[in-house]
Amino acid sequence: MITAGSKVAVVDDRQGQAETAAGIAEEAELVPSIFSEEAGPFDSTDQLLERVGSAGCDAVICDHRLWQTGFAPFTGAEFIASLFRERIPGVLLSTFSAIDGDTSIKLHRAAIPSLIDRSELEPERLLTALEQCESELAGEVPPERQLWRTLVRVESTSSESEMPVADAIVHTWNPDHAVRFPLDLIEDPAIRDHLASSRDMPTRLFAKVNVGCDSESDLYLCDFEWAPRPEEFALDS
Amino acid sequence: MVEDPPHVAVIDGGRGNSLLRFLAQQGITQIDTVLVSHADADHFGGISLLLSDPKFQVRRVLLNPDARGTALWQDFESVMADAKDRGVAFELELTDAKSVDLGSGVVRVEVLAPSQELAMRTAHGRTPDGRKLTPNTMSAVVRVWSEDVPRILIAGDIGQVGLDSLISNNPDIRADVLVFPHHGGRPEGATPEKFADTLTTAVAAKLVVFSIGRVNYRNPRPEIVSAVLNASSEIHIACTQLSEHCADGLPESAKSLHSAFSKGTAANACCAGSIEVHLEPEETGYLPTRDAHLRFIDANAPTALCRHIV
Repeated sequence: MITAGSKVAVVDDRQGQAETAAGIAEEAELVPSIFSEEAGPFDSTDQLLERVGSAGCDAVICDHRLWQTGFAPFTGAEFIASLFRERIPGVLLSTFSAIDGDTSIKLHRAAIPSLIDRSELEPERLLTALEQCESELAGEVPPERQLWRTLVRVESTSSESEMPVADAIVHTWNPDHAVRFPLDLIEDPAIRDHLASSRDMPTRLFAKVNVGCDSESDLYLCDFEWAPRPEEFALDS
Repeated sequence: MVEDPPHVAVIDGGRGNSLLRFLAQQGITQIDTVLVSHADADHFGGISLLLSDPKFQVRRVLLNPDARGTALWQDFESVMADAKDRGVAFELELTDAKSVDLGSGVVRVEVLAPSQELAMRTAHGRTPDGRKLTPNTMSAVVRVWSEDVPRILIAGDIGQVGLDSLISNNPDIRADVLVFPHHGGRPEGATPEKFADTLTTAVAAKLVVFSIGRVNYRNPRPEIVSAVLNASSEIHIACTQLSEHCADGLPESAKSLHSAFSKGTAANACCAGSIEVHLEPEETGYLPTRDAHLRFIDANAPTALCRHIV
């Protein structure tokens, strides 16, 4: 359990940003250990995880864009998700959450309980985020992270951003607001290829989605499957 | 949700996952009957989720067709096709020709509107006297009975045309509880005050419920609340959430007035929250109680419409 005095790794390819985050961790009565320019580069999430583990850290605070200075070829989201699978609490920080939130962050959002926009990083927020992550690791998934099977209407796909994405309506979350997600979230290659070809739009799918969340940046999707076409609903009587 | 153990009916589902969270809290996974009043997402959204999630087993769904062909309704058609494959039965008529007995014979849901005559004309036609019909007008209006006492009238989103038809086809629409149509927003084709007065007088309820979200459309409208109170000063008005009309801010911490799941609880946005009506043989009781609710209003809603407009 993360408490005052717990050791946290602060991972950021930029020393100045790492020190700022470490300062906030100290205000939260945590003991930060910085992994920045001098500690890197790291070739894999496993390598970074090993270094963090050998430093005796109980949790990790990690920036998302680790690749810009050649610090790591992977994203912070990838790293935090790998920590989650190893049952280590981690909080993802991003200055670019509005830009990366639909793509490289969304790709791993299922395994990232806590994302903080850097502009909102404060001691109390950090502690709440770590607590939220620990709770989820203990199996206590809050209502806003719980998944429900629901219809997803894909209106279009594109490859304009860093990866192929779909723009879709999840009407049980918000019928008036489209959400963007990476096609790579879809495991079934037949569905992925169908969408990538942009034929037959809109295409309706089922997916599991945490429709109880308020913000699009907290929304995540998984377990996609084909949905019947609307016209397949025929009269019973 | 209407429960007559072990039987359960659900009438509309709001948006999002609130209905499912409520059902999960109550330990309910088997639903005998679902009624969808009309094809608006704030009424069928939760039903869409209910029908999509295999953790819940629904036996049958009653609804009226909708010919608008909106993408949202087509989404719902996909959901219904999927549910049908899993054995859910659909009946594409929800008119005054239908009555839903929950199973024990004690509790039943009476469908008061739309009339079969109006339904034949569809939501895109006109009444015999030439007035335009709309999906809101064609909302199903249902009344829950138990022990042969009319308990709750749930009025969908009906406007003036729907109300006129409702009253002309049903001389007696009294019920102990009225769930006010259209969330207390502007009724279609009506003068709000006159509409509210006519409906409130005809139903003669002791509790009038406005199912609202705090930030949605600034409901209920003050002139409607005023007209409801003017119809009877004894009426207890209960909004599910604390309207922006009634308080600029939310309480810093507010305990739920009773234990049932309420959507607004997490944000301290509840006024009455979810409302639980008890179908006791002698008298219709409900939670939160009138006294508890009024104490909450006095403490947290300095400009409460239900306390200041008479």
